[in-house]
Amino acid sequence: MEAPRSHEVTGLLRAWSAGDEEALRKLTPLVYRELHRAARHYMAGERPSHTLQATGLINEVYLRLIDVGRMDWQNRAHFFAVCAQLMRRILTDFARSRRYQKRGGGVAHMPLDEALVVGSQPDRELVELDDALKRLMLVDERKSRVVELRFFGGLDVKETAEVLKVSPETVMRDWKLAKVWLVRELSGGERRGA
Amino acid sequence: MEPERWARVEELWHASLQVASGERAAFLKEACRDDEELRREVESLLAHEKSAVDFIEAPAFEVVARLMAHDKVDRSETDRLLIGKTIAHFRVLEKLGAGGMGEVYRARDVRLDRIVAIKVLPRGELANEEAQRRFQREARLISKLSHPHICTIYDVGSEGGLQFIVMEYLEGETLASRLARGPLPFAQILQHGIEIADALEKAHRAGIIHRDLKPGNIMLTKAGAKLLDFGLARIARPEPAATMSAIAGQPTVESAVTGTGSIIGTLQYMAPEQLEGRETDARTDIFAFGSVLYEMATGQRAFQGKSQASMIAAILSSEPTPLLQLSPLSPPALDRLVRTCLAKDPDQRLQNVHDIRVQLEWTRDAASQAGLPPVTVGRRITRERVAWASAAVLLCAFAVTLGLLVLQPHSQPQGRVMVAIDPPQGYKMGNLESGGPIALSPDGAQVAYAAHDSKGTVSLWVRSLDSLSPRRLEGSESSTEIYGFVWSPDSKGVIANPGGKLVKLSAVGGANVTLCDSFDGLPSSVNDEGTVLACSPSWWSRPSPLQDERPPGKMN
Repeated sequence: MEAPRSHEVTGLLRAWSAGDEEALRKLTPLVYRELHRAARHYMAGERPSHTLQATGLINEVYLRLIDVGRMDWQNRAHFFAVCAQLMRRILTDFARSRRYQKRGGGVAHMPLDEALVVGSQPDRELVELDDALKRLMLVDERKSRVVELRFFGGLDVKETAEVLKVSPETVMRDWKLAKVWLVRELSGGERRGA
Repeated sequence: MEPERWARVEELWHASLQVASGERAAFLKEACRDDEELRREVESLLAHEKSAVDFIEAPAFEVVARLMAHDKVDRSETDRLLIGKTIAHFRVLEKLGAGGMGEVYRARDVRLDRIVAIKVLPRGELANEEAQRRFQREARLISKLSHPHICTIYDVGSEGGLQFIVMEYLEGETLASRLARGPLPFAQILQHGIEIADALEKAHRAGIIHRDLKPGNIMLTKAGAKLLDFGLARIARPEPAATMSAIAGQPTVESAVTGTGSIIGTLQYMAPEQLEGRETDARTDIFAFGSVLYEMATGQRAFQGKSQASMIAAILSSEPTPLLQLSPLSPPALDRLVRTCLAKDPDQRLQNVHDIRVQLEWTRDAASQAGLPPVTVGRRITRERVAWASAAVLLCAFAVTLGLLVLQPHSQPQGRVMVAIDPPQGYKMGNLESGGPIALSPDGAQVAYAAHDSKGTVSLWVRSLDSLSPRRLEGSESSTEIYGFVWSPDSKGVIANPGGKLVKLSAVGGANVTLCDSFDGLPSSVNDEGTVLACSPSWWSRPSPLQDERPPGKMN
């Protein structure tokens, strides 16, 4: 599919946030293109330089997705919030389908320790995290949004605070507790086979 | 949870973090007063604080991009480029698998005309020339390790930017895939355990630590166990291993969802000090070896967790389910050995592999004196083998080895339990001359068998599978041989004929019930209603047994 041009992206994002699933279908290849670009860096063995922080990486992605000059969003915050949701959706869908392919591809039960260097783990964790985040939303909505914005949206503390209209200190406190809550949620004593 | 209550949890959690960790319990007790549930909630959150430190610190975008990179390298690039090609003087034939550090191929050494295995590191695995030189240097050092239970490294090299290691081609299966079918028989655990210990001992003496010992790195071949990938974990990434704390200082690199990212080696078998980024030494391998022994005996991993974070938490803070609970008939010596290997604090572990080997050998020798069948190597575990082991029971004068096909009621995979049953102290197994059968109770929880003392008195003994000491059944003493004894359907008693009486001997400490006062037959089976079928030995020599038939005893 022809990737939409960057000036169309804002429109698509807006349409998607208004509930248009078709817009998501058009946005997905764009994000994939960026993912592949980043993946190629890793494949070439380029270690991210010290100047390129993780949040920098994703901001760069946003910049390429959207023509900032034409950005007519009422505020940056809304844009970031929608981007974070978009990333969450696309990235967990990717993880889910990758898991499905792995299982469908004859790897019936891949033991954890047979996982490769970056093995089958992260995709599984992404899917589980997405589910756990839905549960966190029922307990404490703001904390689940902090995680969505920071982890899926790649925003830093300040940007997250801006979106949520709270202080950066509050974001940090929420972030810490949310991580602990999620780790506990994901660890719930697994027993093999039982 | 109610919002007010959650707010209270949150408040207390933050407050607890301000309190020194030693005083938190007291602080919470005071703060929560009678509200036990509140205290537990806050405490359980506090318990996960450490493992959450690096959790999701790298953005999901990066995690997924790395996954994609990995998939591409893994699937297409290397395979497409390599199969059928020649690297140096090795013609790559087929892919054997992928391990922690790259793909492994079967290849032909065209110069020496032999089959080898060649491991090709993914491009970019070694960041720069200095790392590549170090890789070559250290791989050469390891190639000097010559031991029958270490996979020999023949060569290392690089061509066209690809780094590779050439090694002995082994036929067999990894311990990991063997374990997928269940635990190993006791004799094999000891045999392979001794082989692995011997290999580790040799390496440790040469100053080489494995650092990534796990079932996936142990091949079971006709010649016994072979350790793979010695010390490679360290070579590939000389910076402090993939640890949480190490990575915390490098925010963008190597982080996966949990922040542990491109893990070197496997979390499940890593020692606490490895995970914490502290110094590792030979005792790190001892911890991993303990996990491997544990898994061989139980078929389960010593530490389990749904995610890397919970796995790390388990290794750092929880004790594995006791080995004897999962595999009740394992020798206590093995249980003790494994526990000592798995101590969190390296100082509390056995300090060198030599001691482990000696203990394993001692356990093996003790077992073989007790009449365990010899180990056959590389033989597939089949039902015939079980039958063979059971047949050995009848022949064995001192001890019996019992092969049980244990059918677990739930979704546990079917496994086979191999146990050694030692005679009670001062006794020998079976009847005086002709050995004796052994019977498993209908509920599968106990075994009954005959044993005799030096005075020639035969008695019946019962041992519960979750205990190690047998109990003599009161009233079972007999100066004549005891053969056909059967369990009552409720598993609470054994029907036997000591001293010429047909008796239901209580196996639960109750009173015995005499079923028939004068009886020279053998009870041979009992149905659910308690009807005992017995037969008289005298029938066997007579042409018309019906004349001599006695009425079957009916249980009360």
